[in-house]
Amino acid sequence: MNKIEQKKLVEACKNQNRYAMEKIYNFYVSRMITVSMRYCKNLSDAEDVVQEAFIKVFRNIKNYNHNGKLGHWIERIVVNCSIDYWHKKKKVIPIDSTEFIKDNEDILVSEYDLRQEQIPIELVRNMISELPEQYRFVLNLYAVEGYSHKEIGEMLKIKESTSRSNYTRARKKLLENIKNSGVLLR
Amino acid sequence: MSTNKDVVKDLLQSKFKDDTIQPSRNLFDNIYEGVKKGEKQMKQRYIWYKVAAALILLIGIGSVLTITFKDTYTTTNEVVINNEKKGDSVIIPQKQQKDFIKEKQLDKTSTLVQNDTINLKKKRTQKAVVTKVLSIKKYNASELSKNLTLADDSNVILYKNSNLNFAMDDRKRLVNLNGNSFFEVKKDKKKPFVVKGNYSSIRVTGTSFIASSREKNDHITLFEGSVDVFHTQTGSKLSMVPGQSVVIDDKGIRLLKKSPNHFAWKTGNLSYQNATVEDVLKDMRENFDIKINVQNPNILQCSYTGSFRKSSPQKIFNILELTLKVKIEQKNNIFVIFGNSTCTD
Repeated sequence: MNKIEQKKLVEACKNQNRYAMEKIYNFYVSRMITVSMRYCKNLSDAEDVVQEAFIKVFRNIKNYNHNGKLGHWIERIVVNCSIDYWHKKKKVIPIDSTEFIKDNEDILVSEYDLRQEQIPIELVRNMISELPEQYRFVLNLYAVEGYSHKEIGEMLKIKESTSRSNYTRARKKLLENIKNSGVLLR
Repeated sequence: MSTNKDVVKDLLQSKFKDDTIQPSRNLFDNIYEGVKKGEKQMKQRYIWYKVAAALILLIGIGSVLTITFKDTYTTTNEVVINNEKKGDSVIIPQKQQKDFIKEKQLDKTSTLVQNDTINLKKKRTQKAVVTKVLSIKKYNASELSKNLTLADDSNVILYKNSNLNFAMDDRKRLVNLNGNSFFEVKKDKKKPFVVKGNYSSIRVTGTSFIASSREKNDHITLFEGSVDVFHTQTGSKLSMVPGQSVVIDDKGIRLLKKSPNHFAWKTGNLSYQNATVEDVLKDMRENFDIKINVQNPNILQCSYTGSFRKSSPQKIFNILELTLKVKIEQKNNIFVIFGNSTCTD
C-alpha cells in the first residue's frame, strides 16, 4: 500500500466507508495479531484485543494526521489495548523480585553465542508467552516497541526502576530458556 | 559483557519485524458493527445534550417568570385589616390571614375591612423588583417566632406575625421585611446585606441589629457593627452606631432616645412616659409570650412612667409589684395580678 493509496483510504474511512475500512483491516490485521499475541497468552484473547483496537482505530481515525506511519499508529493502539485488557483481567500481579532467578551472576548464555537464524520464531513466541505477565509486558514494550522505561512505568502504572529491573530479569530468563531449549549454540 | 549491545533486543526486533499471525476468524464484521454502534451512541448523546440544553433554558425562563409573577401575586392578595380602635393597620400575607381573621373575629372589637391598597401595592411591587436573582426564598412566622438561617449563613429570628423574602446574587443580599425581625448578618464585604422596609433600606456588611417594618414606620436598633440607613423617598442617609435606635417614617429619619418597646423580645428594654399600665401589660404579652390576668381591671388605667433595661418578665413584675403595690403570682406562663391599687403613688 503506497502513501497516496493509504491517504485515500484513510479519508474514505473518515466518511465511514466500509470498503476502505475492510481494506485497511485486511492489510494490517495479521501484523496486529502478532503484536497482541506478544502480550496475550492465547490467540482468542489476542483477537479480542485486536478487534477492540480496530474499533478504536476507525472511531478515532479523524484524529490521525498522516504524520508517521499508519501501521505504527495502529500498532500503538493495539499495544495500549493490550495493556488495558491486561489491567482489566489481572487480579494480582504475580511478580515479585523473589519469584525466580537467583541473582548469581554467572551469565547463562554467552551472549555472543546467540545465533539468531538458529532460533525459530515459534520458539521465541512461546518463550515470551511463558514469561510472567509483567515481565512479558516490560520486555515487549522496551525491546520490541522501543518505549523508554519511564514511558513504560507510566503505561503500566509501575515505577521506572521496577520496569528496569523487570526488564533485566526478563532478559535473563529468556536467555536461560533459550539455552535450555537446546536450539542454540555450537 | 554487559557493555555489549542488548542481544535480546536485537533478537526480538529482528524476529518480530516481519512476523505475522493470521487471525482464526474474520474480525471485521464485529469491528464494523462496533464502529457503527459508537457513532450511533455519539449521535444519541449529542441529541441528549441538545435536549438537556433546551430543558435548562426552559427552566431558566420559567423560574424568572414565576419569580416575577409570584411577587405581584402575593402583593395583590394582601389584605389590610384596620384595627379601628387604635387606628393602625397591619398587613397580613395570605397564609396568615386565616388565623389572624379568626382571632380578630373572636375579638369582635375590630372589623375586617378590605381597603383600597393601591398605594401599598405600588410600594410593594417596587420593593420586589430584584434583578439577576439566583433564588428568592420566602419565610413566614405566624403564631410563633422562628429561627432562620439564610442562604448566606446569616441568622435571623423572625418574630411572630412577620415575614421576609431573601434573595441573593453575586453582588448583594436583599431582604424584604414585613414585620419584626432580628438579624445577625454574616460578614461579606463583597455582598452588602440590604434590608428593605416600607420607608427605609438598611445597608450593612456584617453586624447584628433588630428591625421592624410596619404600616406607619420602620424601626431599627443596632447592637453591633455599623449600618447605613437610607430613607426610601428622600434618599437621606444616617449612619448608626451600636446602641442607637432610629425611626423612619414619611417625614424622614429620626434618632430615638430609647429602643422601641416592640423590640423588647430581643432587647429586654421597655420604657414608658405617662403610659397606662394597660400599655405596659400589652407590650409584655406581645414580647414575652406570657399570659397576664388582672383581677381588678381598675389598675389598667393607672399611669406609668419608667423604664426597664435588659429585663426578664420576672424582673419587670418584681418592680411592678413594688411600684404599683400589688401582688403578682406566677404559674407556668400565666401571671396573675392581685390587689386594689388606687393609682395614687
